[in-house]
Amino acid sequence: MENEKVIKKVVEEVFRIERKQIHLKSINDSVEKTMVKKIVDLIINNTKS
Amino acid sequence: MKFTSIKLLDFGPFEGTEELDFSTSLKKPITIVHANNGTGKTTLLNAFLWGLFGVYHVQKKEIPNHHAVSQIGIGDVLKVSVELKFTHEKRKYTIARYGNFKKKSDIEVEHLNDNISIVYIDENGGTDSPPNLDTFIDQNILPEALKDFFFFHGENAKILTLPENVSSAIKNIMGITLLERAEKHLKKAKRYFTKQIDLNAEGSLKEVNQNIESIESELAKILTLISQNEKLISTNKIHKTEIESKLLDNKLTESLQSTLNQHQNSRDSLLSEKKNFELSSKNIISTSAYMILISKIIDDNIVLLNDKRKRGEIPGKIRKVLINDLLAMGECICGSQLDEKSINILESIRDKAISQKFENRVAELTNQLTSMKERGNSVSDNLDGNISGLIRIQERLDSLNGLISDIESKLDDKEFESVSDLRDKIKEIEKENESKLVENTRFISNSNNLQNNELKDLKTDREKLIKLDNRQETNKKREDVAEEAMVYYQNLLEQINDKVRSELTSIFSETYNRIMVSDFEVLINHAFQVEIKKRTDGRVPIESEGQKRVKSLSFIGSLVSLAEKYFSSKNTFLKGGIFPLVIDSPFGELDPNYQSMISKNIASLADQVVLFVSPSQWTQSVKNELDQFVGKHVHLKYYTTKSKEEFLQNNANLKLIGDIEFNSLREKTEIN
Repeated sequence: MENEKVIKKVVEEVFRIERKQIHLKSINDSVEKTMVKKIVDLIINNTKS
Repeated sequence: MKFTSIKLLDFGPFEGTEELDFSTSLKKPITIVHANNGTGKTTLLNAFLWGLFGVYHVQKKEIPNHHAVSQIGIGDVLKVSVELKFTHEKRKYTIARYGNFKKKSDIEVEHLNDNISIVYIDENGGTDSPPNLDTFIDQNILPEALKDFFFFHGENAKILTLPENVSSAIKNIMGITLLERAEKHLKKAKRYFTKQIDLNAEGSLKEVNQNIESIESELAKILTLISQNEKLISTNKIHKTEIESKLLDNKLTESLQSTLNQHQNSRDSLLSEKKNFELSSKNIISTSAYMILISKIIDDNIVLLNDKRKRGEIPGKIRKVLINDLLAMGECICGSQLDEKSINILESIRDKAISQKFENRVAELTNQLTSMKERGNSVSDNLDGNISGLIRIQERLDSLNGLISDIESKLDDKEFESVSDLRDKIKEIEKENESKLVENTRFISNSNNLQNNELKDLKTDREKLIKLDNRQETNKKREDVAEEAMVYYQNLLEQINDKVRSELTSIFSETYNRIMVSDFEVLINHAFQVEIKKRTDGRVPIESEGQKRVKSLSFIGSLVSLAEKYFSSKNTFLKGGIFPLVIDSPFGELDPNYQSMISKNIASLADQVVLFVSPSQWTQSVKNELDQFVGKHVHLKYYTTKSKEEFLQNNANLKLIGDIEFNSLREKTEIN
């Protein structure tokens, strides 16, 4: 149950991160790395032991 | 996005400043721009594209107004501009693009550069200008990749044949691209955590991880190959339809060629008939034309001889021989005896009676003259017959030459490829598609095998090994979260793709079938491409240009409708939006039924529609269907230096609507 909550939150936050860049027709490597880093941090922050 | 106005400065045929306001009414969303052909419709469509994206369909040096250029000195710079006002997501935008053109000579200008300015007023009344002016419209308002859909030239039915165009259009407008990115980025995040596990792994776990990575990389390669093959198969199908269409065209070409041969044979036989008539006439003229020339002399002589007879100067009725015979026999012709009185009378007229010889000569002359007159008449009749024959032949020759010239020009425009070459190409395509399908079946089987057996086993081993190592617990948990979030997006994407595809197909098919009476079925397939097939046997039909145009319009209209639906419903995942449609020549050369059906449905295609129509397209039936939805009529008034007579000489079929001013000092177009 705890895990489900975490996944739900991650899904929602990832959507927000992506939506901020919705206007970009194509994403270059640098922007993509920043976005992936944000998602990694998001998961880490929500899964601290 | 809804346009409120467009303002042009020295742009193309538009001299000085010209402005056009658009209808923004919900109930009457259509603006009709009336213009004769060649007076600025397409330039106006291009003004939208240049204003928004800086692209122009012809060379940019064609942009400046000729008169404006003539008013500046050589070396001077002319500034032309397009200013567009529109509303978008509660903001009022003004975008202005300025083009600088240097006059190099009286006939040549050089495009120096473009500048753009974008200003918006937000919902609180504040004014601002966005950063990244050059990419702002493309990235925030209307993707440039979709420009040919929203600024649509009725005759450009080809845009739907580019699969990438269509799928990117749908995904972009509906916001599916965002979900695809989310899935892709989560996959990368998961890989990050997998790497963290790998970094800490020792011994068996490290080895298992390496094996998993190698299999996953192999799987990714297989999936890429499957996807490449699917794209190739799909492109090949389109290519095959085009070749089939060429084959059909070849049949038409063959039929045209056969008609041309028939006409040429008829022309040859007419030319030979004409030559015979000419020879016959020449012969008549050289041998007997004098008959016609002396006919008056003959007539005069016949009249003269008859007069002489009447006057008794040629009494040819009683001959001298007969009188002598009667006197010698002493008997009358009736057999009675001649008395003295009768003998005296006979003797008195014997001297007046002519000799046999003279009599014969006169009779002969009269006969000859009469015969000559008849021959003269016959020569004249023959010549008259020949002349009417020649006129008749010439009329048929003129008509045949016209037909031959029409067919020859049609044939000149055709690129001829032999039927056997085209059939070979079709066979090649079918062969390639078959082999790619077989290849994909093998790839799918391999990938299933890898996933279900080797990868599954390795992952189970990995789970077990990680559990034995407490240090990996947190990273494993994070990897799991990334994976589950990724799977969530995969499922969501699958559902949304299906939903968008099915809803879009439904609106697309409904719109298409409202306009078309054919038994074709249109749909958006799994690769988000437009597909058309026959209801009866599912085969890809060969479409006419008109059918392609209706398909394009229906597709664009359905995409705009669906985008608007999701924009209004504020769906969490599907973006949507309000998009206008600006269509030049929506009907092209479609037949009146299609024109009427498109008109009936065009208002429902988008919240704002701008239509550029020529007088020949603005028919009574189109007007009847559209009138209730038209919020604004705009006329492009064309000024020509020609006189009305001169203009009509070259445009005999032009239906005038009073938007042309003749005998103008210079050529230009005004917006009224």
